[in-house]
Amino acid sequence: MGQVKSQFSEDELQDYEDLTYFTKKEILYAHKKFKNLAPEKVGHNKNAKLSMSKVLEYPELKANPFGDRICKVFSSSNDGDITFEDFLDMMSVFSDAAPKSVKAEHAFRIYDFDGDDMIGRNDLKQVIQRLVDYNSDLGHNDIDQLINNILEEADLDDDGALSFAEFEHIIDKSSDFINSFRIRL
Amino acid sequence: MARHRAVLSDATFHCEVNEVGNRRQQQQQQQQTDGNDGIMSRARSEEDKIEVVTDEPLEGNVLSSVEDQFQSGPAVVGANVSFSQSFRRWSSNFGRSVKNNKRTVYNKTIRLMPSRIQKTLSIDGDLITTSASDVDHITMELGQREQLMEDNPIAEQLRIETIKSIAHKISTKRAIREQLSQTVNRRATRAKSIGLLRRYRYSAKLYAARTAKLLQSVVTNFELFYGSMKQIEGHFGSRISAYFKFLRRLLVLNLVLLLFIVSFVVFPQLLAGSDTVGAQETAFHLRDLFTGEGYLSDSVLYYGSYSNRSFTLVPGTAEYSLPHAYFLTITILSLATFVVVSVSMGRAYRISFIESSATVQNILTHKIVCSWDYGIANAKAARLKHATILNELRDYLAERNRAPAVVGRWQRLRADALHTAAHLTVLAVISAVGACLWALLVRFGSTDHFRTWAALYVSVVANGTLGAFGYVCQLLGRLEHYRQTATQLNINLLRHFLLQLTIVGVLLAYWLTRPHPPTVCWETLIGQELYRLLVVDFFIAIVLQGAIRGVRYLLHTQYGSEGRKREGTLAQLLLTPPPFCIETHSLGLVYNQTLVWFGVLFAPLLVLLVALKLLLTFYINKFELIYLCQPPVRLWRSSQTQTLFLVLVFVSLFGVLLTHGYLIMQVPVTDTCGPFRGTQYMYQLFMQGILKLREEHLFWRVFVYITKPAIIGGVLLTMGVATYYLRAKSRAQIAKVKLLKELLCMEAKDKEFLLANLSKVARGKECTEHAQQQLAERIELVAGARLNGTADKYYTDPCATWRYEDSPRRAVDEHPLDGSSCSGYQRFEDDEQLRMRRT
Repeated sequence: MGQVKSQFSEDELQDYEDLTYFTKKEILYAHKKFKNLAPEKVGHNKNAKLSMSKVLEYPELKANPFGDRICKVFSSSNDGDITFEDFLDMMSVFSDAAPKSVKAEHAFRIYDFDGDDMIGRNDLKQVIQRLVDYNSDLGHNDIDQLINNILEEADLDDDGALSFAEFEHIIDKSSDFINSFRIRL
Repeated sequence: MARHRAVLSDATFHCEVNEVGNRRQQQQQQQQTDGNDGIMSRARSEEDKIEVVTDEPLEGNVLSSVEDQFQSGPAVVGANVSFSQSFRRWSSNFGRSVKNNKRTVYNKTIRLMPSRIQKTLSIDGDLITTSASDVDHITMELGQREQLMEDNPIAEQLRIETIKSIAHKISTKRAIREQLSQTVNRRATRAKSIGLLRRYRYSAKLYAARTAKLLQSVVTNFELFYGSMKQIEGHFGSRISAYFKFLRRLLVLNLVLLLFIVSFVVFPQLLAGSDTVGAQETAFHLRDLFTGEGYLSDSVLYYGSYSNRSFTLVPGTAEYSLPHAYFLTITILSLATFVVVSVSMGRAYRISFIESSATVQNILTHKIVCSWDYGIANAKAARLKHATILNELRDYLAERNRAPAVVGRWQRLRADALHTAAHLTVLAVISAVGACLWALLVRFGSTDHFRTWAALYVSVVANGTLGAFGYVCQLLGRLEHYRQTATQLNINLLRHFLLQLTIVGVLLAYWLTRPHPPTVCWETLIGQELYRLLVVDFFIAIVLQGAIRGVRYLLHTQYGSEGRKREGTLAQLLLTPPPFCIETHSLGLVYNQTLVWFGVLFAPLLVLLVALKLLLTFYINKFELIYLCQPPVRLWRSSQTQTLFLVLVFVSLFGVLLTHGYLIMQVPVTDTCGPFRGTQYMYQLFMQGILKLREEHLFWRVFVYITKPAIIGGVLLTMGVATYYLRAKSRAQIAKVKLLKELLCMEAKDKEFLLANLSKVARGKECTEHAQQQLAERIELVAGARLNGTADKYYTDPCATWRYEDSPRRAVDEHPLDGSSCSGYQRFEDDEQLRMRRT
């Protein structure tokens, strides 16, 4: 434990504590978990950049169908490679202390596959397919019907896609979102 | 403020046009040199649009750059208006608040922080997430807030909180923080030094914040069962871990109760030594642990062995009056627990029922967005979750596609009759159980002290019926078909709860009404009975049922393949792995807690027993879940269920408090044992000893007056009227929401109409520079009119009505380039391109 602590100075820890929703102890714990992904590389440089495939070995991300989207959203270089700061950012957003608005924002970015700031039909189609793990039991007609129903329910101004405001409106009304959009460190 | 707003938005408007225009020109040239990248389907990139339409990347270079600038104008108008619009929304909401206390500022700044600024500026199609302009813009916005930019520690805290909630990378946030502190320092050098009083207030607040943070970190350090919870959550998801969280919360509550009871009541009694008259030295048998009799009946476990004198613990100090300590500790703890439980119940109810009451309209979206549990860390659990989601979606589709069942009158009648029959059966069963229990008590309760195992009959019967009732309910549930599973489960829950209440009520009634000779300590008897109930419940509900599940699991592993062959038979039912029933377990917890709260007046150390029991239950349940049982495939909304359990806990606590009140006021105390010997009723000790009141005192008379029925009736009536008023208010707001939604749709239609007209008008004109200018002006005019218009409601709605410029209705589709996100403006521009190329 002393070894890990000596890698970070008190100032750096305070800095991270101010910028994320973690305490100092949790930040050190997060670093430990980050290091477990690639011990030698992180041992050399505590803010090392790990490739997406390495990061996707983290258990919660591996089991998650949106794992690659999560990496892309939180990666500072936008190609899926994660540094420790990105990882800390990710865990902070997924922690219990993050408010609903921050979580809603990031959930929107994750589900917006093509990055056009709207969740359109293609995005919804991808989301549904990934949720059922590309199971062939849910055919194209079924998916289209689901998408139509979603847009009917949630698209308030009838433009064929969900904007962030509409998305946030749904999230505000649901109490289960906070429980499910959470990764314990 | 309004003028300031307009000026600011205009400023940004202009600088954005230039900046983005230049940027786009550079990028345009760069992309020309890179060559035609092929038709990329990124709809939002202007350059790509040009490539796609013209197919001649090099020729229309000069023209396209001009068009580009022209094009970037209105597009930037769109984008920039969104930015300034969101900024305007934020600042207007902020300016509206009269109180500038911390909470209001927090709500207005952090919760409404427009995190979408960066999005609306990146029109290039790339999500360039970190650019210098982002940092500048956010800093500029934050710099407008007076409260944030002060140079005192409170504002600094607020700054830190605001920055934490910005949805950007850590490096961006760091840069923002740097810039903000520079600005603050610059401004602060001109300020005067603060006075002494203010400095003290600041330091006090700072210390308070620091201690709060320290306390919070201490609490999270000692989070019980952290490793187990992580394992459960990773394997089974958050719904099952909600049950374990409930268990952990109850355990912590009990431990806190235990701490207080031990330190104030038990410990002094132990120090003072036993003082029962005629103490019988009974030997300790193992049986006594189960029956609570014998050796234990004279120990500090029960009420009877507490002395009623005051004594000095440490020689030289004041006297420590044990009866007062006993009474006060128990009553204060009960009231405090009641307050805590009711507050948490109120909060949970608000979150899961009231705020999500509108979700009845958004069922599918809610399902899609919130269905994946991000805490799952295990491939098997992930597969299970995928299967669950698939089932839910298929069920949903089947439900929608099913022709609406025309329920004939006969069928409805039949269904109603079935339901009523089931309810009546359940009520009959419950009353039968009650009567049976009463008979048993009369038969066995006549002897005063049990030295043999016979004492356990009552407890065994009570708990046995509870267990068997579960199966009866399942059977009934299969017979009566409820349309929604949620209703079915809620009704099940209520039936179980009713049975528990009946059992506890019957036992209570019996003990209180039974005449007993004055030498016998009836409080101790009640305490013993409760002890027995708890111990037997532990063995039956947990150990025995755990064993049954283990046996079922073994059968499943041995003969599981055979069972699969015979579908739908009893054999198959027996041979599947046992399900992990959350509701049954949670109800068991509620039952335990009720018994403990009731018994804490009579046997203070019951809390220790229950704490141990909860600890063991946690580990046994975890073992069952991981190795033996199969987690339930269909779970309904867990937050509502959790709230329901909290409500049940609240209801039982309320009932217990009422009973205690009755006991304290109306039931005479035994003369020979316990700390209240010498007074007739328990409360008299409190009144006379502590408040030193006599019957004729003014306070006493006021108290008696207040508790008259008429006054209480009047209070209840007022509460009823207040509730009605609040309900009427909430209905009015629901109607208002509906109206606003319609307004939104209308506005979208307005925009479409306007755009169509504009393009019609523009097509009719000659294509010259002048025309382009005019067009640009007209667009600016329209956009400007929108900007400075009187219709302020455009700025208060944050939805995509401005986005609408970029993605109109599908009906207006003339150039279906890539379907979904073709922009109306772009299409309009494409028309322009085509026209200009032709000329």
